Amino acid sequence: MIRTFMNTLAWLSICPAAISGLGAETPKILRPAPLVGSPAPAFSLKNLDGKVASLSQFRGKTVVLHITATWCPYCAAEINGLVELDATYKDRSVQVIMVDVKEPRETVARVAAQYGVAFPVLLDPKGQMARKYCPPGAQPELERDEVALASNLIIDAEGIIRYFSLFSTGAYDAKLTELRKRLDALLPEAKP
Amino acid sequence: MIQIALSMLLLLQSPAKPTQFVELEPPATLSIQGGESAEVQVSLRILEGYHVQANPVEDQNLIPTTLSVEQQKDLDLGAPVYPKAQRFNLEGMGDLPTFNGGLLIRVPVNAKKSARPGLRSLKASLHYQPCDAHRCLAPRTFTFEVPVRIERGRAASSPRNLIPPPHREGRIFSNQEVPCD
Repeated sequence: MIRTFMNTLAWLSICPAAISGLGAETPKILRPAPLVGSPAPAFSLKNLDGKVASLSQFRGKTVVLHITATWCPYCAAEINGLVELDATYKDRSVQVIMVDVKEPRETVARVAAQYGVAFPVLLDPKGQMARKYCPPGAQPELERDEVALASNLIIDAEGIIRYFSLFSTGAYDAKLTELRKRLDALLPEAKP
Repeated sequence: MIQIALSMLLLLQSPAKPTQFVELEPPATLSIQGGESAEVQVSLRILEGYHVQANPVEDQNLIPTTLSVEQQKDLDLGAPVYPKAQRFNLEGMGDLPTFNGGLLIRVPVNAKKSARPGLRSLKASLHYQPCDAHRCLAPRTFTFEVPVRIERGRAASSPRNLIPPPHREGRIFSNQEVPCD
């Protein structure tokens, strides 16, 4: 009993900010890590038009998910790559989605227009979605909702995470070369 | 045992302060007489391996490093003057103007003729957005205080009479004004 409790305590100590939301989400803090091979955590967020979109509504498509913020230079550097990727793969049942973390709608809309983004841009105003995609223990010195910023994920048609480029790994890839490679491997029958 | 563990858990629940990537170099106290102009020099150090966006930024979506100093009734503070930026090349974005290493920001200050002598602690904050070579972190604010002493009569040496201050874990003086002598 004590050992179990201490194990729980040890886990919490490596992901301290994850428990800052205790109270509202107490039972969910031990949810599975959003790692490759795991089901992608569900989310429902408003788009720039105020309509709610859920990850589940894209089930059956391969989703490329980009977690971003307009102030983030590394994120901005990838937007052009995502716009190109969307144009290249949208006819192959690939859905690009961008989730902006903790910024006003007007700011995000302005930047999306600036880059000519045609795919759904969703708003995560309190960082709750970003916290769900924070792998436990990753970069414990940071707030949980900033760890996944600038990450790219591939979620397959069954909702399983197939690729997760957590940015701190140093896998900066402005041209999204690796992401495209992984996408091609998942979509073997067609060629972009 | 359980009690200790629960106490630890409660400690963990307290909201974490944002990690800071800048440090304040122990500031000297600026001494200035009523009617004189001088310059407050705020010297900061950006942690090794990190950089912050410069001021001004070239991409208006980025967050410029911005120093704010609270106005005081006895002092007129001018706009901060930022140092020359260094270039950080980011594939996909080009050369971004950034600050790294030491960061000296100068703030013009004019003491009003009617200024009462005494020590003032100016509340200051630096809003910045840090990055390293692999990741960028959310914008954050670093708060500190800058001591300025308003002298009675003409200063003995120069308009900038620098007095080494006591060092108290980043905060140099309390918010209370020290009464004049």
